Amino acid sequence: MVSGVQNSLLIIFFLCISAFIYSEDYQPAKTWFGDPDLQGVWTNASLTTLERPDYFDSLEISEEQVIAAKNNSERFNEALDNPYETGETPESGGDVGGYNVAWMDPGNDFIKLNGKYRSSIITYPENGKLPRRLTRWAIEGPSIYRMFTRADHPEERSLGERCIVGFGSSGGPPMLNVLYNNHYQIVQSPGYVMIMVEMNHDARIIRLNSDHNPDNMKPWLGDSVGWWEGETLVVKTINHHPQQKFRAAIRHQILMMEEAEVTERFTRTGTNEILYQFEVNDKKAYRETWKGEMPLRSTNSKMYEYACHEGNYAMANILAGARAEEKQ
Amino acid sequence: MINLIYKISAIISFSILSLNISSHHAFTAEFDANAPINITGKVLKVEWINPHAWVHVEVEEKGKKTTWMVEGGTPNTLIRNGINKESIKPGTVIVVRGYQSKGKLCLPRCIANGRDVTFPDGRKVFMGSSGTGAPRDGADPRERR
Amino acid sequence: MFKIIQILKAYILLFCLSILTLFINAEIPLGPEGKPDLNGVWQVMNRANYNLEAHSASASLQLVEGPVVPLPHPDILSLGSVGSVPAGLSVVEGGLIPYKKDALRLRNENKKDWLNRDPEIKCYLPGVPRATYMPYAFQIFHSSKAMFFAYEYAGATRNIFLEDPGPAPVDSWMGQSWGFWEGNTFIVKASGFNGQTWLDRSGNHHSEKLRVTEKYTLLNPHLMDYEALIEDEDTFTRPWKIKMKLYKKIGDDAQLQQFKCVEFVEELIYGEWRAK
Repeated sequence: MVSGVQNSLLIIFFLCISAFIYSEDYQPAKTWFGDPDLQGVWTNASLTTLERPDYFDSLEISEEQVIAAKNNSERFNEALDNPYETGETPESGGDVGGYNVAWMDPGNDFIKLNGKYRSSIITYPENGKLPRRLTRWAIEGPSIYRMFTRADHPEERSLGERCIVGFGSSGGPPMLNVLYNNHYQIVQSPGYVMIMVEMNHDARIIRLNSDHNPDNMKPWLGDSVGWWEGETLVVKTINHHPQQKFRAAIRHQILMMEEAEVTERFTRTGTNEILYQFEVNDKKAYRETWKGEMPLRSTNSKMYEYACHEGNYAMANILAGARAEEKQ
Repeated sequence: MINLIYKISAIISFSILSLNISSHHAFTAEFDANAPINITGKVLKVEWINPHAWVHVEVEEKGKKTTWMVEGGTPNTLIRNGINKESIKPGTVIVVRGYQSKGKLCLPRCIANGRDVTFPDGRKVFMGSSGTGAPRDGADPRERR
Repeated sequence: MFKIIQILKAYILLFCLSILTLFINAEIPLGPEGKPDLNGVWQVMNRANYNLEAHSASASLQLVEGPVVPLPHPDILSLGSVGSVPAGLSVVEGGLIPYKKDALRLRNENKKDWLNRDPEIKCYLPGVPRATYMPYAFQIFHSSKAMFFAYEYAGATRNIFLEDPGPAPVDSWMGQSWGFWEGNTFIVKASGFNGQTWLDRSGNHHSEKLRVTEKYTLLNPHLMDYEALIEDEDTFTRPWKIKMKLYKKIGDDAQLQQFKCVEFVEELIYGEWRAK
C-alpha cells in the first residue's frame, strides 16, 4: 500500500511538471491563444494607386517603368514643395495649394508582390479600373459638386474634413492608402482582432465567429465579423453607414452602398509583411465584383494621436469664409 | 460604344478631381486665391494638432503688430521624423507665403495657409529627415523590426 | 535513507500542488505570459463622471437662480428629469480633491459655466482617467505584444506602450501611456496631456502638468479594482487618488457599440455658420 501511494505521488509529480511545461509552450508565429499572429504596426503607404493610371497598360510593371514613375513623382514633389521663386509673392488668382511636402507621407515606392511591381491595387477587372455603373453620377455628381463648390452645411463636406472617419477609404473597408498617416495597428485577443486605423483613431473591432448585428445598425466603417481559414483571417463587412457612400481622396474615389459586401483577407507572409486582399461586391454601384491586393509592411514608426475633431478650426473657417463671400 | 461612354465618364471624373490634387481637399474652400500673402514674422507658438498644425506668427509692420494663424499639415508625419513641441522655439523668424482665408476679419487673428514656409535664408522650416519629406512605407529595411 | 526519500517526496508533492493551484484556480483567468487576463468589455457602475466628489441629486449640472430654489439652465430645462443629476458617493480617497486656491476658484467657475466649458458636451476626447468612468463601456485588448484600450465614448483609444518611450513629443488629449506588471497588477503611467480635458462633469480640471498612475488589478473573472494616482503640482496641493471597481460585461450584448458623437454636435459647434 505504501508503494502504491508512492507511485501515485510520482505520477502527480510528473503531471505537474508536464502541465508546467505545456503552459510555457508559446509558438512565435501564433498568438498566445493559438491564432496566427498578425500583430504589430503596419503601413500601406505606396506610390501605387487604387486604379491603374493610363500610362501603365498591365498590372505588373518593369523596374524601368517604376524608376521613370518615381523620378516623375520626385519632380512633382519638388515642384509642389517649391511653388515660388526666392522672394516671390504668390500671384493673385493662383493655385491656393496646400503646404510643404514634409507634412505628407505618401510612400516612396510602388507595391511589390511576388517580386513584381504593381501598377494598381486593383487586380480585377484586369484593366485595373473600377467597373463603375453610369448611374454612379447620380451619387458622385452631387457629392463632388457640393464638396468642391459649396460650403453651406458641415454635413456636405467630406467625412475627412468633418473629422468623422479618415479621408477616402483610409479606414475602409477596404483600407486604402492616402496622402499621409497610412498606419494600422493590429492587436489580437481571444475572439477578436482589433485594427486601429490612424485616421481618425478608429478601432475596427472584428468579432470572430460571430453574427452580424441587425441590419438597422449601420456603423461608420460598417459591421465586421471574421473567421480563420487556415492561416488567413477573413473579414466580412456589411451594413455600411449611409453617409459613407462616396469616399473620395486624392488617390482614390470609390462608392460603397449600404448593401455592399466587402470581404478582406489578411495572410502573414513573412516577419515584415501581411498580404492584404479584398473584394467588393456592390451591385448597385458596380457592374461586377472588383478585387485588389497590397502588402501591409511592418514599420518601427509609432502611431500618434489623430484627435481631429478637437482641433478642427478648418471646418469653422470653411463655413465662415463661405458666409463672408456671400456678403460681398 | 458603351466602353467609350465609360472611358469618357472616367476621364471626366478624373479631370474634376485632378483639378484639386494640388489644391488639396479643403484649401480652396477655406482660402481666397485672390488674397495672396507674403509675411515675415516671429513665431509665437505652434499648435501641434490635427487635422492641421497651426503656427501663430506675429508680424510687425509700421509699428503695428498683427497675429497670423498659419495652417500646416498633420503633425504626425513630422513627429515620426523626429520633430517635437520644442522644435520651433517662440521668437524664431519665418517667412510665410500663401493665401489668406476667405473670412478676413482677423478677429482675433488673421488666418492663412502656409503654402510655403521657410526661414529668411530660404531653407524649409518643416523638413523630413532627409530633404523635403522622408516618406516611410516600410520599403526601407532599416525601418523594420 | 527511506525516511529522507519519503520526506523529499512529500516536499515535492507540496511544491507541485502549489504550482497546480495557479492553473486550476478558476478565480483569476490567466492571459499571455501567465499574467491575469484583462481582456474583455468593462464598465463602471458609479456616478463618478457626474462628480468625483460626493454629491446629492440635483436639478441639473448647470443651475440658474430661481424664485425659491435654483432651477435648471434654460438650455437644459426641457429635458426634465433626463437632465437631472443622480446622487453619488465620492471616489476620491479622503473625500475631497486637494485643490490649490486659484484652481478651486476655477473649478467653481467651470461648474457655473458647464454648458460652455465641459469638453464632453462638444464630444471632445475624455482624457485620463475620465475615459475609465464615462457612462460607456471600454474594451481591453491584452496580448503579449500590446495592451490596447478602445473606449466607446468618442471612439477614444489608448495604446499602452510596453516600454517607456521617453517624454511625449507633443501633448495630446489622451496623453501618452506606458505600462508594466507588478505582480498581478498592471500599472500604467500616463503623461503628455494638453490640459484641455476635465475630470468629470462638475468642472474638476487639471493642467498640462498632469501625470496619472493607474493600477488595474483583476479580483475575479468579472471584477477589477481600478485606482488612479493624480499628480499636478500646478493645480493640486498634493497627489491624490481615486478608487473604483470595473465590472466585466458578459452575454450576447457584451459588445462595444459605436458612439463617435462628432456628427451629433456639428449643429452645436458649426450651426451659426450654416447658409441661411
